[in-house]
Parts: sequence; structure tokens; C-alpha cells
Amino acid sequence: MALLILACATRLSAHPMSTFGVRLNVTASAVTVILNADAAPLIVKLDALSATRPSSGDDVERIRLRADLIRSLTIVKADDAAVALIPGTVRTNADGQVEITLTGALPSNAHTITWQSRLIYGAYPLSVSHGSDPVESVFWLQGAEVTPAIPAHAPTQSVATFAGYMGLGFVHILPRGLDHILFVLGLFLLTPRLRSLLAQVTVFTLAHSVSLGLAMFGLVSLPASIVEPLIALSIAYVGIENLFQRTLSSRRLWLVAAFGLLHGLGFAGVLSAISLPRGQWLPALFGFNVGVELGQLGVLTLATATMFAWTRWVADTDRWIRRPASAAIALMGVFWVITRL
Amino acid sequence: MRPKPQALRKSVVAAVLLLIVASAAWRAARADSLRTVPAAAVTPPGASTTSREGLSDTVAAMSAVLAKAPANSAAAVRLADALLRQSRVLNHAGLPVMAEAVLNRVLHANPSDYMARRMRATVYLSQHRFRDALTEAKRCRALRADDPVLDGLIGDASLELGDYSAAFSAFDRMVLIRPDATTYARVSYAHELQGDLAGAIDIMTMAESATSAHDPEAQAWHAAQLGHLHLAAGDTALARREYLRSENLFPGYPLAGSGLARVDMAQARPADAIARLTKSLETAPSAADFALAGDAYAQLGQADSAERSYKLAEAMWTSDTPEPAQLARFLATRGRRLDDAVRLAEEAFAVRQDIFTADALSWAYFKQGRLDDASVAMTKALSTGSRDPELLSHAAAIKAARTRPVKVR
Repeated sequence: MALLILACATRLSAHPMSTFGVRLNVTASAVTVILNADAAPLIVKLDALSATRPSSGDDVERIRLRADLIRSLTIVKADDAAVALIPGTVRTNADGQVEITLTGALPSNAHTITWQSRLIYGAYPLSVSHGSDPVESVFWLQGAEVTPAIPAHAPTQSVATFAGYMGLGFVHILPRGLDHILFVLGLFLLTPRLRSLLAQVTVFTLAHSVSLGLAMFGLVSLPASIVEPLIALSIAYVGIENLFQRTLSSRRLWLVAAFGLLHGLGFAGVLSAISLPRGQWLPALFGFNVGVELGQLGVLTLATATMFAWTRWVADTDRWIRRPASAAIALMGVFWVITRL
Repeated sequence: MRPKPQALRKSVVAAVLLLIVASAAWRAARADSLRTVPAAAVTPPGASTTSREGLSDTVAAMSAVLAKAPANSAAAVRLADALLRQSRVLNHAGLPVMAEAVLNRVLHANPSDYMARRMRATVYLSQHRFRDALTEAKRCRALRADDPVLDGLIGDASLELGDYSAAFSAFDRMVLIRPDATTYARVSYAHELQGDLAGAIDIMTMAESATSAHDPEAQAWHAAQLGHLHLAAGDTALARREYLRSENLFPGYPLAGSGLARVDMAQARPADAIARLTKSLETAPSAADFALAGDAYAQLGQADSAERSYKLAEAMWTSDTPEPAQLARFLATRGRRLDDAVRLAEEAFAVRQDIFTADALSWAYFKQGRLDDASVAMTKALSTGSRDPELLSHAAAIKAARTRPVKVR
């Protein structure tokens, strides 16, 4: 089946994309349509579609004379009721295309709008924005295809982005981030003292937040082929060190900070794959980081509860829990080092 | 009793070493097993069903998977496959752009993902970016030299660029390694290009027989191809039968609709062709269909309607679905804007030297009265031995004009 598409692709492929582009800006009271098109073929098409004789004059003038026809072929609806569009300016833009503006009043209680063009026959991008919000949604439409319902009012974008990326950050730790889970457990297993755990987790969090931010701004960059084995090595290290050390030293804190920087670069790799939304990078980055912290807190909460439960049955937790678990973490870390190299 | 620290340290070191050896062995074994998996054993995209609803379901399901895991390669490849199929069914050129974006996201996370790269080459073909497709397919070859799909991709791109010997060699390699429906379809096209229409029909029939019954879109495509071949061979009754079968297999299949209109025209039934085209142009306009409708109106003596359809064809080939070579052929054939026809054909021929672009160039020169240039371009157009009726009629006209020069305008 995969091959079939290749057979078909050559002789029955989609057409190339059109040279049309449409931008739709929606505010509380109005909708503005900006249509970009190549002048010459647009004039040919408008002349063909018009019942009147071919127009004369320069390109802009000829298109302006057909503005009513363009308006009648442009359909914007608010909650299924047609919006009356009024032709605005026609001018030549910096790309040499003509830019045709249409505006219409939106009812104040409109919930959704839809767009349809009966002027464009090919595939074209429709960019939709709300007011001065720089975020744009892009729809790829074919000919007279109608868009799905578009919210007439800008969603609380920042909050939605923050929440969405926070969820992504959380699931990147719980349940998907087994390597990060083991690292955090490695920190947890060093010593039962709460102050030591807090010191390590704080240092780790600060460090990975810094490197995540730097990486997302493009100030630091390391390929995944280096970062991923080093993260595995950090896991092996904390596991092994737990076997021979029971107190928090300043050396351990420095190492945890260094490892935190590495883990931050790992998180950045995930975020790069998803890509941050244009104009919303700050809530997205912040949300992702908060999600990661919540994921870590979740791991520590579960670990504390489990350890507390076990202490009721196991007298020597150091011998039967802390050391074997640390050894297992170390072994897993070594295994990952090998497989990621 | 607590073990001594010294003994514990030794045990840990031993355990670590043991694990390193075991892991390395496991990894090597896994790599071997991956190497021996043939390309086709990878989960086939679009395997469930390719009906209109099936494609929509696949797009929705894979989009949902990718919303949660944007770097999921298998889902991205399946989504891209479904989007490309939808783009053929709907004539929607925006869908390959979306497919490319999906694959780019996966390849950003893992640039060496083979399946995603291979699918991206297919997407480039769909976007008519033949050189990009060729480059990507050759890069894939460096990763997996024995994948016959790459031969298909390289052959397809070479064919469109006019490098027929490279294309036919690639198809020959493919048929040796993997004789299946996709390979047969390509070989059939190679026969058609070389003028062996009977052979092309036989092989396309084999290709259709080898197509899964659960793949209605592919079945409709094969039936439409058979219709096209029978029409090229002059058997309009069989062509109609195949196009009707295609329409029946996949209701509303664009190729079937325009194919039937061509059969109507070939059977001198322009009014039927117009009735059929009016419906399809209303829902899914295409430049070729507008041009055909123009011809039908012209045959009926309706000059205004013909001119209107020709103008819409011209506008569409210029801006809605820009295809300079097609536009040049259209302008030259209908005697419109001949200077532009020559310019467009020359520009297109500089990019791709396939026989149809050569024919467009030749006919544009001919219409301008440049018989020597027309003859040179026609030699290239005839180089594969194609029996394409339009191409042959152009060749005959040029030959006649050269032996008995007349004013051609």
C-alpha cells in the first residue's frame, strides 16, 4: 500500500498550489478580509465570470471595477448568517500582487464564523487572527471548501497555551520520562533527610530551567546524540554514588547542577520537536517547565509514600530498599548509556 | 550482616561490566534483526481502507496520535500517506503541504528516520518538486540501498524530468526485486511512453489484479488508467466501460469524471461532455476540464461560452494550479497568446525535458512559424516512441509544414 501511492503520485498527483493567499482578521465587531492574488490571471478570471464587457485601465483599476463580483464570490458567515462585506482598498503590495480588502460588521453575539471563496479554484492558505493577537491559525483550503467553525472571539490564548504545555511537560515526566523519573529517584534515595532532598531538587530544577530557556532561545545547542547518553550517565552516576555515600556533599550538589543543565537540554529537544507557538513562546515555555516540576513532585510524592509504607514492614530500609534500588537505577543508567551511544 | 564496602564495590563493578556486555550483545542482535527487515515489512500506511470515509478516519486518528506525540514517526508516515491520497481524491494541493509539515516535524526530532524521509520524497513528487524528490530518494538510498520503493521514486522523478533511461532502468530494477501492483503500474506507463499501448494495457490489468480489494481508491485509479489507455488506443467503448467502473468503485473519483467527458468528446457527443463537466466544474474545477469544456462549446458553435471556459482554464493554469508547461501547450494548441506560449514552454523546458513539455515547446514554435526550432523540439518529444494522439498529430503537422511550407498562424 505504501508503494501504491508512489505509483499514483506521478500521473495522478495533486495540482501545484495556487498563488492566492487570504488573511482574515476578526475583532469583536468586525471582520476584515485581505485577499492577495496575481493581477493578470485574476483579471482574466473576473472577465470570464462577469456578464459585463471586459474592463479597461490599469490592473488595479480593472480589479477595483470588479470589486462587487469579488465580494459576491466571498462568503463570510457568522453563526450561519451571511456577513455583508464591503469592498475596501485595492492596491499593489510589495510582492507585486494585488491586495484586495473587504470588511464586514460582526454581530456582537456571534460565536463562530466560517469562510468560503468561490473565486479561488486551487489550494490556498487562509490565515486567521483575532484583533491584535499575533497568533495566527492557518487553514489549507481547496477551492470552494468551507472552513470549520472558527471562534469569533480570541480564546484566552495565553492561559490555554500555558495549560496545554504544562500538560505536555507533566506527561514528559509522568509517565513517559522513565530516565528523568529514575534520576529524581536517585536524588531521593541518597538520604532520608528532607533538607538534603530539597537542596538537590532545587538545584536540579534551577539548572534545568536555565538550560531549557537558553536552548529554546538558541543560545545553547547540543545534539541529542550527545545529550541523551550524558543524561543516562548522570542517572548511572547518582545510582552508584548512592551506594557509597549517605550524606549530601557540596560536590554532589555541583554535580546535580551540572546534570540539571543536561536534563534541561533534553527537555529542550522535546520542545523543539513540538515547536513553540509563534507569539506564545513565553507561556508555552513557562507552562512546560511548570509541568516538568509538577511531574517531579509527583514522582517524589509517590516515592515518599512508598518508602513510608515500606518502613512499616522493613526495618533496615538502607539494606533492603535504598541500596538495591540505587543499584538498579545505576544499572539502568549504564544500560541506557550503551544503547544511546 | 552488612557486606563490607570493599566487597560491595567489587560486586557493583562486576554487575556493571556484565550489564555492559549483555547490553552490547543485545543491541548488536537488535541492529542485525532491523537490518534484515525488508522495507515492505514495515507497517503499511493506509492499510485499513482507502474509501473516502476510511481516509478521513485515518487522518483523524493519526492527527490525534500526533497531537499527543508529535515525533511519532509511524503515525506521521500514515498521516502523510492518507493526506496524499485525499489530495488525489479531492484535487487538494494543500494537503501535501500539510503532509510535508508533519514529516518535517518528525525529521526535526530524528533526521535519520528512514520511513519519514522516504515518505517526504513521495510528498515532494506530489508537489511536483521532482528534483527535491530525486535528491531525497538518493539520500534514502545511502541509508538502505536495497529498498525497491526507492527505485520507484527515483524512476518517477527521473521520468518527470525527462531522464527516461534513468527512469526505465530504475523500474527494471524494481520489477526484478518486487513485482507487485505498484511496479506493474510503472512498467505499464513505461510501455505507454514507448508506444506499446497493448502491452501497457496488459500490464495495467495485471497491476489492477494485484491490488487489494480493500483499497477502493487504488482500484478506481487503476480502472481510470485503463480507461485512459483504451482511449489512447482509440477504443472508446472499452474506455467508457473502464471509466464507469472507476466511478463505481469510488463514487465521484475526479479522474473517472473527466475521463468520461473525454470519451464523450471522442465519440462526438460534446453536449454530453458539457453536461458532465458542468457538474464537476461546479464542485471541483480543474483547468484541464475547463479547456475540455471550451473545446466542447467550440464544437457546438457556442463561441462565447467556449471563450469563457478557455479564459478560466488559462487563469487556473496561471494562478490557481500553476502549471507553465500545461499552460504553454494549451495556449499553443488553441492559438492564444503565442509569444507567452513560447516563453512559458521555454522556461518549463529549461526545468524539465519530458516529452510532453518538449511537445508544448515544439507546438508553440510551430504556431509562431519557427519550423526548424519546432522540428528540433519535436525530435525530443518523439524520442521515447510515444503514440500519444495529440503529440502525433503535432508531429505530423510539423512534418507536413516542413515539406510544404505554409503560413501556420
